[in-house]
Amino acid sequence: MALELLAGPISFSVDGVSLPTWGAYYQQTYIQGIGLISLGVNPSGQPGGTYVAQLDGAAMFRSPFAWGAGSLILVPDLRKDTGIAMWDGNYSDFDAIACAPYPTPWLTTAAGASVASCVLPDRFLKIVWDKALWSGLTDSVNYVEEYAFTTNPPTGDATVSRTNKPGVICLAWRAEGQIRFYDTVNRIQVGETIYLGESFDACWYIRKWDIFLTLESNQLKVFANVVRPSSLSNPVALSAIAPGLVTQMQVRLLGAQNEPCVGEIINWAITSGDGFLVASQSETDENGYAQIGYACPVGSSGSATIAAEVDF
Amino acid sequence: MLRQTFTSQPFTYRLASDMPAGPYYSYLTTPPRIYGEEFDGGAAVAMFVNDDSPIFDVIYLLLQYKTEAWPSYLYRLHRWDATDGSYLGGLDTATGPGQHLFSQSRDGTLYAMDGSLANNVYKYSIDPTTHDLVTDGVVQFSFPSSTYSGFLQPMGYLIDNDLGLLIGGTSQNWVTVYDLATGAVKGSIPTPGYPVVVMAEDTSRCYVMTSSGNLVLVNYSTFQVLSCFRIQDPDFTSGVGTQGRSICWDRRYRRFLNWVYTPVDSTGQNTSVIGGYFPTPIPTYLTAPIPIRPPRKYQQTPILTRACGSIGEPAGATRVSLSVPTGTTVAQVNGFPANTDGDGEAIGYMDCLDSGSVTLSASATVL
Repeated sequence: MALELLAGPISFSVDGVSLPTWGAYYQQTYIQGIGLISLGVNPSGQPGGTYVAQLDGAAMFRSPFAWGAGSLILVPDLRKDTGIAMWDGNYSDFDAIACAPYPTPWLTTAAGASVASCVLPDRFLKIVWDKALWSGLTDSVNYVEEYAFTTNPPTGDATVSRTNKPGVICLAWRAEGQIRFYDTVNRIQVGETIYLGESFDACWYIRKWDIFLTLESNQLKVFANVVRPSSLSNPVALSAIAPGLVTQMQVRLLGAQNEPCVGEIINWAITSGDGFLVASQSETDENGYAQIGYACPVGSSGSATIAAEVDF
Repeated sequence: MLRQTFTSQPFTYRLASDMPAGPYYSYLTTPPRIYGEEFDGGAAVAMFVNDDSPIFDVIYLLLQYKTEAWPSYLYRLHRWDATDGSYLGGLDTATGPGQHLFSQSRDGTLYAMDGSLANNVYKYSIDPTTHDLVTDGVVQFSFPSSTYSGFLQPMGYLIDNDLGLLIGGTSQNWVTVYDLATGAVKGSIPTPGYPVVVMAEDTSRCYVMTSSGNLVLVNYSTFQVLSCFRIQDPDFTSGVGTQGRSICWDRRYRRFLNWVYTPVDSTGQNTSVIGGYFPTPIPTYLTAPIPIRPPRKYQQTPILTRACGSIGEPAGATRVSLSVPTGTTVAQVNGFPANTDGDGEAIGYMDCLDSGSVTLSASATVL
């Protein structure tokens, strides 16, 4: 596992009664201030339709729309802050508050149209395996490649989420559990690839809290955008150690896929030999490195053993 | 769920001795029952608020009753003082608008639509002397579905004379906004169920009570949904298109008035009352606390909770407290209780003192 698990797996429930079946992953989306909206939920003894789930799996009935959701698909419409587009062969606005669609499509598509992964202000964006494709907002038929994701290229479908950075979206691929941030203005990946550590049916980035919400086999999990430590290198001196000098010692803390662990506290200690450390703790930087000063006493000789460990 | 701010007195049934006898519904006066009439168990016909000078505002409720005497039913109009909920009495309405679909505009004008294909609309008012519903019988508007495409009786509707608009229900999950004069469709607004009552709230805004029991506030000029919530005990005692008519928006006190039927007592006397509700959801659910950063020894961990209403709508300004079991040494709760924000979310903090596990609980204070 590469990201820290905060909660889960969590089952869905309605009025405290466990709900064994939730909606299909492509008929859901997370909206801040509302929750995880899902079409096609039909709990026993409860009205069927669109439900809203909280992060702890508690679900509430919202609308009778689409109790038999069929082939409907929900995709983020980034032209509005809580915009959702509903695909049924055409594109309609889906209101997140009422959990029901506007009746008139805003785009009636031609034959051969396929659903986008999200709607951008100036185009449709479709993620097909490791490729980002675009199409005009009156089209959705002819998609052209605009970017290819390299280094461990992902496969399969991707969930799209909003971020706090203008023009930047979060893409999460189901098959490998890969998460990448994509600048839709400059058409390029930004930042490192994140590895959740497991596959999922869908994964939404909750930008308000910098956490990820995943759906897998009708259960939710909440992950921190924090790499779970996997390996800590041995301390190395950045320069020659000599009596009377302070030498920087360095370790690197990495995740399972060699991602840097940022902001973690490293505890340092001298287990044998002379000298002292400038402090007992230091914090890893954006590349996963942590340093501490080791002072070698004047007139000292022999060796010293310096240990580093991390508590998590 | 909304905050209740008002409760009316129950209306009263009349004794059998005060009413004509007849061959129908003999159970009404079978001991221990002593009252000769009863609400028929269907939908309320109408509920509205009227300025009955010198009483500032009066709540009216029109119900269909079962009676022993021919023709076995009547329509009774009840009145309450909207300020203190005191029952002002009832009368058997002489105008017989029982099959009409009522709607009250923002200025208080009362309209009723008949069951004709033309969907003719008449203006009604309250006679200041008799307090009965009266009409001049003149057709004010006609809304045939051939002109007002999709408009369907008995769905709810609202007439906005100032803007020249008709906000009309369909048998789908939306309301349609029409040009009042021509029937041209201006736009549609999605709703969580088909609309059964449309209530004017303010300029260009109205509440829509839907068949699911959920309410939405919409702006019918911008075609936006502004909020969605659920009133406790929505009335669905009857069939399609007639549910939920026992709700109205009190324009003066800015509250919902909702009549919900409750069973009669052993003597057959009514127990139902009208509740008044402030249109702000109160929390009915608090999520389990979830850390949004991995707990680390000697570090502070932010903890997320969310307070929401019965359909997941946010409940702001709710005080949330975190706690750990007494004697816990692994962690302690840090700081004062947090108030939920506009999304219904609050962040509390936990200090991690040692390695190990801890059971963290959250509770909310609802004032």
